[in-house]
Amino acid sequence: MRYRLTKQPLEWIDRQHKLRFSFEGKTFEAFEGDVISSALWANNVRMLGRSFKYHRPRGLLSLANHDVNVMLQSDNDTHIRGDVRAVQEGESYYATNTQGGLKQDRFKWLGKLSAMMPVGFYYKAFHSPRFLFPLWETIIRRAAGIGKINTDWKRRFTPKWYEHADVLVVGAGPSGIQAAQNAAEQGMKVILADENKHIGGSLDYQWVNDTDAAVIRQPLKQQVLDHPLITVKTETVVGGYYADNWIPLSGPEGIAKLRVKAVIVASGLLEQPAVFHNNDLPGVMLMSAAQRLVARYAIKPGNKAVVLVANEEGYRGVMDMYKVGIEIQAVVDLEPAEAHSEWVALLNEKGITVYSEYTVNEACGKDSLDAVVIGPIDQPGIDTTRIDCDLLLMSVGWSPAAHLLYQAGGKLGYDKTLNQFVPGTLPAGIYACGRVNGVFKLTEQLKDGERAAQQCAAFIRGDNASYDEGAFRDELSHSSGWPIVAHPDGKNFVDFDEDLQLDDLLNAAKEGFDNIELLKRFSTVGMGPSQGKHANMNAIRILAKTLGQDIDQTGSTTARPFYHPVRLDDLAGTRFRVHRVSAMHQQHIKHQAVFMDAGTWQRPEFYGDKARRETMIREEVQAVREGLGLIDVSTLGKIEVMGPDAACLLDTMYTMRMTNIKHGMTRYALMVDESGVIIDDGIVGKISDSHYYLTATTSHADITYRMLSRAIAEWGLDVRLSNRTGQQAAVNLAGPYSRELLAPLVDIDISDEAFPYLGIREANVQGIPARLMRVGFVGELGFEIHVPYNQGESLWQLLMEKGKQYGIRPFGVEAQRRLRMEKGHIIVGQDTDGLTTPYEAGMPWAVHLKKTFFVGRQTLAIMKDNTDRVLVGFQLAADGASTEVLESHLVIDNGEIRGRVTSVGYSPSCQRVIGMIMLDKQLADIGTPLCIRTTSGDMVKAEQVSMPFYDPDGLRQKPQLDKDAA
Amino acid sequence: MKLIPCPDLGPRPRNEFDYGGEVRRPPLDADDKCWAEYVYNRSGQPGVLREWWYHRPTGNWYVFERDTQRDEFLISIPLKEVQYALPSDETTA
Amino acid sequence: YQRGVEIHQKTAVTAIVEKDGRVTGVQTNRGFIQCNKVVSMVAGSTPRITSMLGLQTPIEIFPLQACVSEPVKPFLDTIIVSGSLHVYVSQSSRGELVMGASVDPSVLHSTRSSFDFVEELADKMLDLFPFTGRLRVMRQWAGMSDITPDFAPIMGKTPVEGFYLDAGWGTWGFKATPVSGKTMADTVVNDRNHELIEPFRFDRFREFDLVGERGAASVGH
Repeated sequence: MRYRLTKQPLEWIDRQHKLRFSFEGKTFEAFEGDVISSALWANNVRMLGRSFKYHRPRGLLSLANHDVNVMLQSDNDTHIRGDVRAVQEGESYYATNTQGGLKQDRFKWLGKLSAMMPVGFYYKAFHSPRFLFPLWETIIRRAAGIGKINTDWKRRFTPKWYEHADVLVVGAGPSGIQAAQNAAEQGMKVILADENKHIGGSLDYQWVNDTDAAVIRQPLKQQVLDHPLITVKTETVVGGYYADNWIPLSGPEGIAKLRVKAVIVASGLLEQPAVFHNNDLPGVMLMSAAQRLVARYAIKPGNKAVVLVANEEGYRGVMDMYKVGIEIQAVVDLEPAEAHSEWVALLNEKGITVYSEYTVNEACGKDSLDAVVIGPIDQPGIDTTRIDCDLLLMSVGWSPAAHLLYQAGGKLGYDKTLNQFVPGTLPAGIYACGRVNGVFKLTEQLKDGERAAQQCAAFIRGDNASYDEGAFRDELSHSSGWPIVAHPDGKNFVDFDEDLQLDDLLNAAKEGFDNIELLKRFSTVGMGPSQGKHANMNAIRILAKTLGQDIDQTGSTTARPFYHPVRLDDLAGTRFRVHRVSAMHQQHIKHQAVFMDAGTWQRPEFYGDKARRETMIREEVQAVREGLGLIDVSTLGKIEVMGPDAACLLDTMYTMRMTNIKHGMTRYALMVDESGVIIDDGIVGKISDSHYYLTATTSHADITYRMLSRAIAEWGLDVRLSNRTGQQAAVNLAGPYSRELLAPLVDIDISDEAFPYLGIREANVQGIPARLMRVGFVGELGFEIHVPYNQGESLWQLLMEKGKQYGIRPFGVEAQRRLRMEKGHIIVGQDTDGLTTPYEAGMPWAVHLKKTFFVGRQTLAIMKDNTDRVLVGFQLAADGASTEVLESHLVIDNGEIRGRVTSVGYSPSCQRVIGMIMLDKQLADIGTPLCIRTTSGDMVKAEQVSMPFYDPDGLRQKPQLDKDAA
Repeated sequence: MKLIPCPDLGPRPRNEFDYGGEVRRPPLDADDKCWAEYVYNRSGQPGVLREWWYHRPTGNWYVFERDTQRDEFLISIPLKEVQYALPSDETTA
Repeated sequence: YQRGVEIHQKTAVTAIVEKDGRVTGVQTNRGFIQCNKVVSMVAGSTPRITSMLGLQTPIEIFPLQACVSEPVKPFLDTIIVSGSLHVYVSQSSRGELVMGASVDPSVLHSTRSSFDFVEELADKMLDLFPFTGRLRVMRQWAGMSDITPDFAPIMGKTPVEGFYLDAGWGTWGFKATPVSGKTMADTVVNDRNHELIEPFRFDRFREFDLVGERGAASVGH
C-alpha cells in the first residue's frame, strides 16, 4: 500500500484491521473501510477495468458510484462497483468485460477499430451487406454486456418495509444536515438519507483544509446524529421519486418504502469531466475523486500532477493536493486566471505555474498517464507544451444531481452566471438547497438549508409564505461553458459508459438527430449504467453549440428512476403470493394428489402416480362414468344474493331469465359484458323470493362479486351480497352410484321426484349443515355439496369412507375437463376468448333476448345473426396416433388460419381424442374434415362431429338409469 | 404509490383499488349505430373523468372525478348522483 | 430530406381544418399548413387529434411501463412472454434485459413511472429466472398506449374525407411498422383502404366486426 498517506483527520479506514483480497488473481492488502478501487489505487494498480465498447483501459474517475468502467465480478456477485463496494476479507474480484484478463484482454484491439464503429453503428453498420448481418450479430452479442450472471445463483429474499416521516432530506452534506436539523427543531419527524457510509458530504472532502469548516464540522454533524426526531440513514440511495411523495430508500438491508409530507433535496452536484484526447486514461480523474481518495482513504492519488481548472474549487483542490505532498507540475485554467488572482498568487508563491486560458489537449501514456500536452484554448497544435505527470485532475464544472427534482415534476433552468442548471419551479412540498440549488459558499449553504427547512415546515403547517429560493445562489461561475477540445485523433470521450467521442455526437447531430431526446436514443449517450451522470451535461453543451442554441432551448433529457441501479432481489423483496388451499387439502395430499395452480388456488390436477398421468386421468374419468367420483370444487365462487331486488339484479346481470326460477331450483347463469362477450358462468339457485345462491368460476369469483356490487350501486338496488367463496367448502359427488351413497347420509328425501335434476336443497349430511345442488357439469348423476369450511374435511372423509363399497375415487381438474368436454360444456376463458359471444360458443339457448334489459342484451340482439365463427366439436381417428394435437393448435385450410383448438384430450368414453375448435363459420359443417397443424408442423386430419360427444340426450341424469348404468 | 382520497377512510394507496372505468349510462331506445358508439367509443382525451373505483378491502364502490393528465383525484361523487333506474321491466315474470 | 419530406420537430397541431367534410389544412403552433390529406399516427395522443374533427374512437390511453437492467453477457437469445405471470423479457444487443408487463389498469395521459410496477415485475422476473437477482434495474420508463377494445389497430380512411388514421396499436407495433407504412401510403395515395388493412377499418366497431387475433391464446391478449 505504498500510496497510503499518514493518518488523515477524517479518514474512513480502520488501520487496525488489515484485509486481504485478490484482484485478477493477484493478492492485495487493504484496510477495513477501503473500497475496492481505493485499495487497488493504494497498491499502485491504475488499470481497474476496461471500457464497454472499445475495451480501453480505465481507472478511477469519480470515486462516487459513477465509475461504471470499474465493474467487477466475484464468485457470487456481478456489476460490483469498485468505487463504492467495501473490500471483503478473502474475496476474489475480477474485471468484467475482458476476455483473458484485464491486462491481456483479447478485445483490446477493438479500440483500433473505433473508426469502423461510428455512432449508431448498432442500427446501420451491420445491415449491409445484409448477408453478413448474422455474423455481425454473433460478434456483437458476444461482445455485449458487462458482467456475467451465474445461472446457479439463487434468489435472495430481502426484506422490504414501510416508513413514514414528515420530511425526507436527501443528501447529508452541509445544507442537507442543516435543513434536517432545522426541520426537526420545528417538530418535524425527519429522515436524513445519504448514499455514503458517513454523513458530511462535501464538507468532509472539499472543505477539509478550510478553517471555517473546521469550526462547524463536529457540532453540525453531531446535532443531527443526536436529535430524537432525526433518523440518519447512511449507505442509503434514494432510488427515485414517485407520486404523492412515495419514495424507495435502497439500503444495505433492503428497501424501505417511505411516505413523507415533503422532500428537501440536498443532493449536491456531480463533477463533470473535461473532454480532450485520451481523457479516459487511468490517472486522469476528477478533482473531487482525488479529494475523496485523500480525505476518506488517506491515499495519495499520484506523485506529479497537472490540474485543469475552471473554478475556485479547483484551486482549493490544488492546495489540498499540495498539502499531501503531490508535486503540482502546472495548473491549467480554462478561464482567465485573474478571476482567481488570490489563489494564483498563493500558488506562484509555492512555485506553481498557472496557465491562463489554456487547456489540456491530450493525455499521453499507454495503460496509464505519463504526460499531458497543454496549449492555449482554441488554438490546437500551436504553442503546445508537454508536461510529464502521473495524475491529471479535472475541476472544470458541475451538473446538479437533480434527478429527484425532475421526477417530482420540477423544472430546472440554465443559469448563465453559474453555467449550471438550477431549480426553477418546483412542485409544492418539494424543496432544493445547497449546491443542487446553485449555492456554493459553505456559510450560504447552511443558510439555504435553513431556508428550505423553514419553507418546508411552513408548507406542512399549511402556511404558504413565499421564500426567495435563489437568495443564496452564487454569483460566480463554477463550471466552464465549454470544457471540450476537438482533436484530430478523437478519443475525446464524452460518455465513458458508452465510449462515445465528441465526433460521435457531432455526427449524430449532423445526421438530423438534433433534439436532445433523439440524440440520446440514437447515440445512446447517457444510457449506460451511470445514466449519463458524466455525459449528459457535456452532450447538451455540444448539441447546443452545434445548433447555435441556448442551453435552455436545447433542454435536458428526462431523468428516469433509478438514481443508482437497484437489484432485482431488493426490488422483489420477500416473495408474497396469495396461496389458497381448500379445506380438503390434507386429504388430497393423502391421496397423492398432483397439484396445479388455479389462479391463487392449489387444486389437484389428478391423483396417483405422476409418471402415469394419462392412465390416472383415464381411470378417474372411468370411475365417474361407471361408478363414483368425488371432486373438490371449493374454489368455485359462491355468493349469497339477498333482498327484495335480488332477482332483478340477477336478471340484469345474466343472459337467462332469473326472475322465473322456481323455488328450490337452479338455472345455468351466463354473464356477458356490454359488448356481448362471455365473461363468466355458473349457476343460480333460488332459496326464496328474496334469497338466491350463485356460483361463479374460480378465476372470476371476485370479479363477479365486484360487478354485482357495482350493479347494486349503479341502479340503487335493495340487495345485499355475501361472498362466501372462502367460507364454504364444496364437493361434487358424481357417478351412477352417487344417490345411493348419499341417500342414507342425508336427512331429506333425495329421490328424483323429491329432488329433481337442477334442484337445490338445504340438508344435513350426518350432522353437517349442507346445501345440495343437482348439477350436470360432468354429465352424470351428481350432487354438489356445499358445507362450512371447517366441516369440509369431515365431509370428504365421510364420503370417501362410505363410498368405498362403490369404488369411489377422487378425481382432479383434468378428469373433470375431459368429462365436461365429452358433454360439450365450455370452460369460460378456455373455449372462449376476449371476443367470444354466446352465439359463437354455440349457446343461443342461454340468451333470453325477450328480457327488456340485461347487460349486453342490445349487443347480442345485433350480433345474433352476425357471427363469423362458432365453436365446433371434433374427433381424431380412433387409432390413437394423433394425441399430439394440443390446445391452441391451428386449423389450416389452403394456407389460411381458419380456427383454433380450444380444448382437446383423449375421451375414455369415446375411446378417441376429441375436442373443440373455434372455427370460421364457413367451414363449420358436421362431417367436414379439418386439418390441424401440430407443433411439429405435421397436419393432422380431424372430423367435425356434433356435441355433446357423450350421452347427447342427457339420459344419465334421468332417474331410471342411475343404478343400472354401470 | 398514489394515494386515493377515500371519502370514508381517508387517503388509501391506489393498489387497494380496482379501476372500474368511466361512469356512463346506456342510451335508452338507441338504434344500432348509437348503441355501437355507446358500447365502444370513449372520449379518450385528457381531462376530468368521472370514474368508478372499487375498494377491495372494504368491498365498496366509489366514484371520483380525476384529472387523467395529472392523475389527480379531485372530488368524490356521492353514488346517488350517478344512480339511474334500471331500463328493465322488473315485474315481468 | 432526400425525398423532399420536411420534418418539423417540436411542432404541435392545434387544429385540423375541414370544409364540407373534407380536410383543408392543419393549424400548428408554428403556422398553418394547407393540405387535403392528413394522416394521424400519434400513439398516445390519437383522441386529442380525432376530437379536433369531432370524431369519436374507442381509443383510450393507458400507460405501458418497462424497465431495463444493467448490461450483462448474453444468456438469453429469445424473447420470453409469460401469459400466467404477465411479464416479458428479452436481452438487447447491448446485453441489457428489457422487461415489461401489461398496460397499467387505469387511463392516464402521462409517462410517469410507478414503483409498484417495478417491484411486481422484479418479483415475477425472479420467478422466471431466479438467478438474475443480483442484476440491477438501471432505468424504468413509461409510454402512452392507444388501446382499442379488441387490442387491434385502427387503420385507413375515416368519415372525414382526406383524414386517415393509423392508431390504436396499443402494446404492439414495432415489427408491423414497415408493412403498416406501406399499406397506409397506398391507402392515402389511392384514397381507399388497402386490402390488408381492411379488417382494421375505422367502421368495424360500428359494425360489431371486431378483430380477433387469430390463433392467439385463450385470452384476448
